[in-house]
Amino acid sequence: MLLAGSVFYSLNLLNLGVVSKTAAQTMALSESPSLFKLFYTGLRSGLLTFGGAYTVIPYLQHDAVEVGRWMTNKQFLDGLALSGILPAPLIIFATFVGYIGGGAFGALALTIGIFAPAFSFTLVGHKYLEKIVENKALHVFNDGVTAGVVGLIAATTIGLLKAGITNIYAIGIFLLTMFLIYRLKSKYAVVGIVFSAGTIALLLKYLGLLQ
Amino acid sequence: MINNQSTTNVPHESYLRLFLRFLRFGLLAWGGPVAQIAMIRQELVDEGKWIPNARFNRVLAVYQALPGPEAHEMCVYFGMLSRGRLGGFLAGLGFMLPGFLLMFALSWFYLKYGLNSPLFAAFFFGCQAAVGALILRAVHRIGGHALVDRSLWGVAIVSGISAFL
Repeated sequence: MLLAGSVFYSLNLLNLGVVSKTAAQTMALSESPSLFKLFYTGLRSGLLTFGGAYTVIPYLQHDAVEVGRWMTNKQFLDGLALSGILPAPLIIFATFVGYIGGGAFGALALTIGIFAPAFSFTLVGHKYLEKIVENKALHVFNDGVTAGVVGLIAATTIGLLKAGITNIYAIGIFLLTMFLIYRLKSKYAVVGIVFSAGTIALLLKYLGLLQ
Repeated sequence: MINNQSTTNVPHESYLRLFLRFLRFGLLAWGGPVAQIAMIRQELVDEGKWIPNARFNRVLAVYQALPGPEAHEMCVYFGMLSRGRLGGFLAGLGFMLPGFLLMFALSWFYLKYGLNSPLFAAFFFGCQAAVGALILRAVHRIGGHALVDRSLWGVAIVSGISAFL
C-alpha cells in the first residue's frame, strides 16, 4: 500500500507539477542541496504531516525529486520500501532522503528538521497540550478522533496487505507470523520473527521456490 | 511540571534508564504507528500503570490531530512526565535512534550496492509479509482499547469505509 500510495502520489505530482515526467527522467540531477536546505525541507515536512505519517511522502517527493532534483523517483520508492521494514516511525524515511541529498550530514540535517516539531510540541507546548487533554468538552471529540483513526488504519492495513502479500509463500509467512505473535508473549519475539521471516524467504529463494 | 493526580504514578526514573527504556521501544518499533502505540500502551499503561488508559487515549488523540509521528510524540510525553524536558528529549531520542541508525546504514548500503541483489529482494519480501501481520495484530489490539462503545465502533467503520471511496 505504501508503494502503491507513493506511486499514486508521485504520478499525481508529476502530472500537476512544473516538471514534466519525461523531463524529470532525462534531466540530470542537480547539485547537492545545502545542509540548511535539507534541514528546512525536513522541518517543513515535519510541520505538515497532518493526518498520519503517510502524508509526509508527497512533500518530500516534491522537494527532493521535483524541485530539488537531488534524487530520482525510483530512488524515492526504493527508500520508502526500505523504511517500511525498519523499526521506526515512518518519517525515518527522511533520513534516506537526506543521505541521498547530502551524505551523512545531509541525513542528519533532514532528520533533525523533520523530528524537531515532534519534540517541540511536547517539550515546549506541554502546558497547552495538558489543557486540551483535560478539557472535558473535548473528550467526546477526542474519543471520536481516535475511533476514526482506528477505522482509517484498518482500511490502510487491508490495502497494505493486498500489496505486500502476492503469493502463497507470503500468505504462509503472514499466517505463521500471526500465529507466533498471538502465542509468544515476549516483546522481543518481534525482532526474531521479522528476521526469521526474511530468512525463510531467502531459503525459499535458495530452494528455487520463490520468484 | 503538571499538577495532576493522574501523574503521581509515573516513576521518577534515572535519565539513563529512561533513555534505555525508550531505546528498547525503538528497537521493537515494527509495524508502524499502530503497533508502536500498542506496545507503549501495553508497557506503560497496562503493566506500568503510569497513567490511566482513558487519559492515554485522549493524549493520543491530541497528538494525532497534530502533525508528526504520534508514537514518537507519546514517548516524548512520557519522558517528560517522568523527568521533565530533558527526560522528554532523551525518551524521544531513544525511540528514534535505532530506526535512524538502521536507515542510515541502509542508505549507505543502497548508495553503494543498490537493491539489485536478488537475495536482498527475497529477504525483504519475507520481512514485508511478517510486518503486515504485525500491523494487523496491532490494529486488533488498539481496536479493543479505543472502541469502547457502539457509537465509536460506528465512527471507526464509517471512517474505514470512506478510505476506500
